[in-house]
Parts: sequence; C-alpha cells; structure tokens
Amino acid sequence: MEDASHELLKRVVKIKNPNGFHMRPKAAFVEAASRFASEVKLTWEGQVFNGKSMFELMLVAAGEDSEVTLEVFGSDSHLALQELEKVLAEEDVSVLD
Amino acid sequence: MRMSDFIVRSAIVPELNATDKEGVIRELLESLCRNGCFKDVDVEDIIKAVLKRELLGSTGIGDGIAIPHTKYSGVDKLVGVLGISPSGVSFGSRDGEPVFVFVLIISPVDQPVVHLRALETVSRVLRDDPLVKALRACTTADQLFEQMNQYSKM
Repeated sequence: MEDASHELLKRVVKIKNPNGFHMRPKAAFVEAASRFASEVKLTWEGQVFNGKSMFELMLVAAGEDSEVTLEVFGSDSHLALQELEKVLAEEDVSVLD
Repeated sequence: MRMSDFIVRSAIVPELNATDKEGVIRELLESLCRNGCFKDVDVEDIIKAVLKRELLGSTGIGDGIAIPHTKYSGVDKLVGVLGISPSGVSFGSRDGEPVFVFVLIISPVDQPVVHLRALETVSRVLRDDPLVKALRACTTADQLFEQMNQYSKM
C-alpha cells in the first residue's frame, strides 16, 4: 500500500458522531492506522496523541462537532490520510458506544 | 473530572471472584446495585446492556485494564465501580493479555460528553504503571479508593 510520497499531510476533521469520538471508532481508528507504515498523530485541545495507541486515543474526549487534527507522515501517507479521515468522520447514531 | 467524582467508594470490589467476562460484569453491577446506585432498575437489564456492548468489541484496552461501560436510560447520573481480579480474567483485550483492573462505568444516555470524559479520566489515571501495581497490591476497598484518589488528584 505504499505511495512513495513521504509527505507530511494534515487535515482538520470535525467529529460528526452524536456520541463523539468514542471507544468503538477509536478502536477502528487504531486498527486502521496500524495497517499503515506512516506515523499517525491526532491533535486535540493542543495535545498530540499517537494514533496507533488505544491507550493514547482514550485520552481524546472529543465530542460531537469538535475538531481534531489528523497528521500522517510516511511512505503511504496519502492512502492513510484518506482512510483515517473516513473513520474519524463516520456518523453512528446507535446509543451503544 | 476525577475518578472520585463517579467511583462509588462503598461498591468497590477489592477481590473479584469471577473468572470470566460475564461474571466480572455481573459482580461489579450487583455491587453497584447493593449500594443503591440504581433505582427502579432491573440489574439483569443493565448486565445485558453491558454484555451487548462487549459484543461490539472488547473494552479491554490492554496492559491488564478494562473499562466495561454502557449508556443506560434508567440512570440519571454517571456511576462507576472499581474491581480487582487477583488472578486475572480473559477479557478479549486488544493485547490478548488477562485483565486485573476493571473500572465499570454506566452513564445516562443524554450525556455523551460526560461519558467520554469519564473514559478519558480512567485511562489517564490508569496509564500510570506504579498506580496499577499499587492498586493490585491493595486488599480493601478503602485502600483502593485512597490509592486511586491520591493519583487522581495529580
């Protein structure tokens, strides 16, 4: 899945899920991020978190309509950005989280 | 937010007897129930709700820690309970390791941000390895609460 770009790519993503960026999307994010060689970081409220660590993402209590900055750097950064942005922006209206 | 804001001191289970996921969830919820945390609610219904949530993906976040949780319409405020399993329980955690430290959280359905903050608070406190070791060495609910509270203030 390499695209040989090695670019640092950044995207601000708004959380649309009414439950916020809760545990299930976090687990999906970590799983997706771990499939890429690129470094993945999330910035929320001025703090930077490793996007491949569930423990770190548990510290991101981003509610609905809040913004997080997704940052990827590495050989597959374009693909990673595309995929991870989708996971972050996903809406899920179920009560269970 | 601090853990002491929502962890019910009298409900803490210093030595869980359960040896499987359902047993742990049942033991923790029954303890909350005995301590008057649920009014006009069938505890079996909450057990089902937490187990249903587990089916969507384990809340075992690794490093011997799990945060089983659900939002539940029958509660009007966030409540949580801490429990320690001396021998560890297989919980389907991300790292495949058994879980020793459990923090179970039940939140009202209409307070998603409070729920997120509670999970964040628990994760922030339990990231501290020395604390987790200290919690596992405690033998009473009071010791566990004091230990947790001491770190939670930092």
